[in-house]
Amino acid sequence: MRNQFYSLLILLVPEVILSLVAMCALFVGFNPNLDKRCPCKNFSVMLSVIGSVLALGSIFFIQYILKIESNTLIELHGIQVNASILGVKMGIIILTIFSLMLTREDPLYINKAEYSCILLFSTIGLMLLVSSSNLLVAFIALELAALSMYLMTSLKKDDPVAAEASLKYFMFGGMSSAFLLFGFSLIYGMTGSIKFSEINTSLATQPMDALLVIAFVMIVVGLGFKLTVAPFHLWAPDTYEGASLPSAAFIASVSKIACFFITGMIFLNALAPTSMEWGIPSVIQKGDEIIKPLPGWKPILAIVAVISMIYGNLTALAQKSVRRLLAYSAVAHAGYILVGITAIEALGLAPIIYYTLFYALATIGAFGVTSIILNNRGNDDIESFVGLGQKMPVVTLSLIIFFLSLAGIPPLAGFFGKFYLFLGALKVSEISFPLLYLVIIGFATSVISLYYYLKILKAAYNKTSEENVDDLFVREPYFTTRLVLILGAVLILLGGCFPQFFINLFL
Amino acid sequence: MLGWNIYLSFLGILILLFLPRENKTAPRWIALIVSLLGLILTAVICISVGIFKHEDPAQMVILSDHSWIPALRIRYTLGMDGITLVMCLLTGIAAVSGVLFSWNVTYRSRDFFIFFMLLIGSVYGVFLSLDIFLFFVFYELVVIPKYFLIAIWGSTNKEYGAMKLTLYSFAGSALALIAVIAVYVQSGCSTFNMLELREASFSKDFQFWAFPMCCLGFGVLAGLWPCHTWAPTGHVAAPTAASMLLAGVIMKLGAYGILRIAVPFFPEGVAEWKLFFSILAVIGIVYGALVAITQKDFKFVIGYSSVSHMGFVILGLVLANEVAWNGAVLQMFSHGIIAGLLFAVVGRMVYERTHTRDLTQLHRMRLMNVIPFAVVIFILSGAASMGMPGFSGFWAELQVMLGCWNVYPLLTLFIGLGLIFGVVYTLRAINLAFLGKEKTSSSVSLKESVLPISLPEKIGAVFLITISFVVGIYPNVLLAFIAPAVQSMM
Repeated sequence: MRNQFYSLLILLVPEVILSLVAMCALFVGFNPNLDKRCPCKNFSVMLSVIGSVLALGSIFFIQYILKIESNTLIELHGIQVNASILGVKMGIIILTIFSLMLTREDPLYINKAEYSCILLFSTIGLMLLVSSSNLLVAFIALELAALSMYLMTSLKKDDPVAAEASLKYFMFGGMSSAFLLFGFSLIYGMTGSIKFSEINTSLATQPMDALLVIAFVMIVVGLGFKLTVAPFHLWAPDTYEGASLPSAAFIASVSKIACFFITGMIFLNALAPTSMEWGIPSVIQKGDEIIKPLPGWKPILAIVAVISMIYGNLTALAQKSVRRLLAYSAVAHAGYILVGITAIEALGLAPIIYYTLFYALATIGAFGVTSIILNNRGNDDIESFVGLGQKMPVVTLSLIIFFLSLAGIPPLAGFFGKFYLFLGALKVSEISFPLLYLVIIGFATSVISLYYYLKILKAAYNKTSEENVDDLFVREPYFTTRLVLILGAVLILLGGCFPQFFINLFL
Repeated sequence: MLGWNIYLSFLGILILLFLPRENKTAPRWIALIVSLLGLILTAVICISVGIFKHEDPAQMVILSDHSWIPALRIRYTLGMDGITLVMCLLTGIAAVSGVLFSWNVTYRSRDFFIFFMLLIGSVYGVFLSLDIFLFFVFYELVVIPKYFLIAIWGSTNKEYGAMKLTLYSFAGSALALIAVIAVYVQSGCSTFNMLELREASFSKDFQFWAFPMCCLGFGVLAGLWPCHTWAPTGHVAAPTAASMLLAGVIMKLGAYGILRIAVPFFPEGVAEWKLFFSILAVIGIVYGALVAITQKDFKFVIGYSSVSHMGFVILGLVLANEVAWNGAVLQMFSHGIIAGLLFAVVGRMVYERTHTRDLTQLHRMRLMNVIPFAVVIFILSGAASMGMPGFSGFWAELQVMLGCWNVYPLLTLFIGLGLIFGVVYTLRAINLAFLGKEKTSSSVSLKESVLPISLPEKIGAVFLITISFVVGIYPNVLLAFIAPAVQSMM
């Protein structure tokens, strides 16, 4: 028993390190003198960055100690670890560091210690979520992350917009958690287990029935909220706009990686073997032949994906504020990723991980540039981007890379990601292409998305009609912000040119 | 060696990126040198293949082949045969003349040439890639520089034109990409290599829906009626060099996609849809010419004439017989040269001096007295565009019509009608733009105020018209490369 807990500790070293660092950051916050005496102004943020780097290192340590290769899976007390889970955790930590580095761009936030502590707690929740192997751990981890994110939204305490955003986020979030829990409990009632693998074996012999459909719908509603899938996305535009910019960047990117990963995990490992035909078990034996009908949750996910792709892209067209636009484009991207999840048995989790990681990277970069605009111009309208190219060419170049990657232009990572996802969707059945319509809608709507991304890029690249750009952009971005933007742009370029390297990391 | 065309262009971009922004003259020299090097390289290879027979133009020669994304068996494969060589030659010529005709770009000239070189490099990439994924990487990479070139440096309604063009071509390539992914999945041989996929056989049902998808997708960029509407607005909005490239090479990319992917992959699909696409192409020929007759804007005349001429290319390709294909490939080359020249005269020589493209206004200026060089060049290239014997267009269109006559004699009659309309709009444009009557005394002052035709313009114009003339007198220069390659693809 003692030995088991020791192994569990080793599996969770990164989370343990992060919790300790979060406590320390909070402690710094309790002692204002400590922060003042320190030569560095943002002591708690620095501390959190260092802690995150340590946690990142500890992942390599785990990989080395446990000799994790592509097909090893270690499972213990509801926590599982394999190569792709560790890869996703790495991505989460790197993006957490990025969003910590963006913190300085936000002049409004009050208590840095509070902020970095809550952000780290949220990261811990997301990391636990990624490595959970049963429904209960997944739910608790999701709640830890979600509660922290509600708090992060409301950190601008005297701002009514932030309060509204946070309240909206919290109300919708609480409701969706209830749906999710209800769905999980139905699954538990039908299979008698909360472990993914046991649910899988138990569902394989069960016929499709009404209760199972209800469970699927509840789970899709509950997770769909976290994934900003239409029609459960209503919180996203307000939260993206109301929350302080680094918090919004975190919510828009890091939380998406973990939530998409666990959604894929639940559907692939736990719910995959259910049949679409009413009353027929998933594996039918006809003589020697074994027939596997398509899983029953496919139509539900497909409907939601179609709504998201169309609604998200069309609504984004009408947005003026770039943050709201990013929120609606998040809805659209969630639709693309759901196409990949619908087709998850064809290529596994790899396309989804690849797509979400680079989507998150591009989003965090886009938020970084938006924060520069917001600080200089006071709003984030598309027209406010005019003149950016004149004043900050490097920032503009990275902005071009982020948005073109989101639009899916080669040779950036977004193109290969989309290609990989849709390839999986067509691979589901090689003769009849049952998901062809999803791919067609996906590509058609990504054409729409190019329109609004190009509109921003055009504005950023244009010269201003006014004489002096220096008056428009008074505040130079901080060094850390520049670093995040350049690193992000380089990573996206590398991810598009050498995708195999990144695929190897997650498989 | 030919792969160096791509790398040279990207190298040029790297050099330009490190130039200071204020430098106005260095970018154009660098762009000229880089594109000239590419042209010389292609010409040397053409000579070594054509005269010294180092390679057989019928064979697809693999230039480089590296593993790229092993998970999906995507490889970085470049290859060339006779058709590729001709297309690369066209790109080189268009690039050099494009730089020459944008010699006067001073507004953000560094950025202009960066986008220009990016465009050229990607176009070379499309023509050279043998792996379909790589093909699409380059094909969609073309979209972005095109957008910025038009939206920043363009004229008349530039944002609308640029956005329309970009969305159309992105949508077209997405459509073709879906068909191609389906091909990859269904072939079962898990390769993206064009040559290997060409060998795979697909079921008739699959071909029946995949061919029109692919053909329509590529057809958008080739100006296939009724998806052509981006072409006139895009051409008109674009700056001179961009519209030269747009008509000269970028419209050819779509045709090249049909040639390398749509037709060879789906022989049965072609058989089913041949008549449908032939009719669309012929409508394009006649409609483009008819609409060109009624235009008031000089550049719109050329824009619609492009649609009309590209109709020949598409027609030749979907007919899928040897004569028609020879004609189609030759027409791709010939139209690339002639349309480039026409746009250069209208956009650079006339518009930038008179600041109007309105034919009725030009009529009052009697430009014949003002810029006689431009008039001579325009009349020569107009004759070439009409399909006058002695210029390259004649042989190309003749072969396409011969190929069509064997299959659909009735359609050929309509093409003849299109040719007559072609003569009408060209003569009308020449008459209105250059041979007008002086209504006011403005011509005198115009003659003094207008800058004379500069040396780069003269070099570029003479260069292009000479090529069209040489090919027109002795078409075998190019057909020696095209015919064997076409024969081996059939």
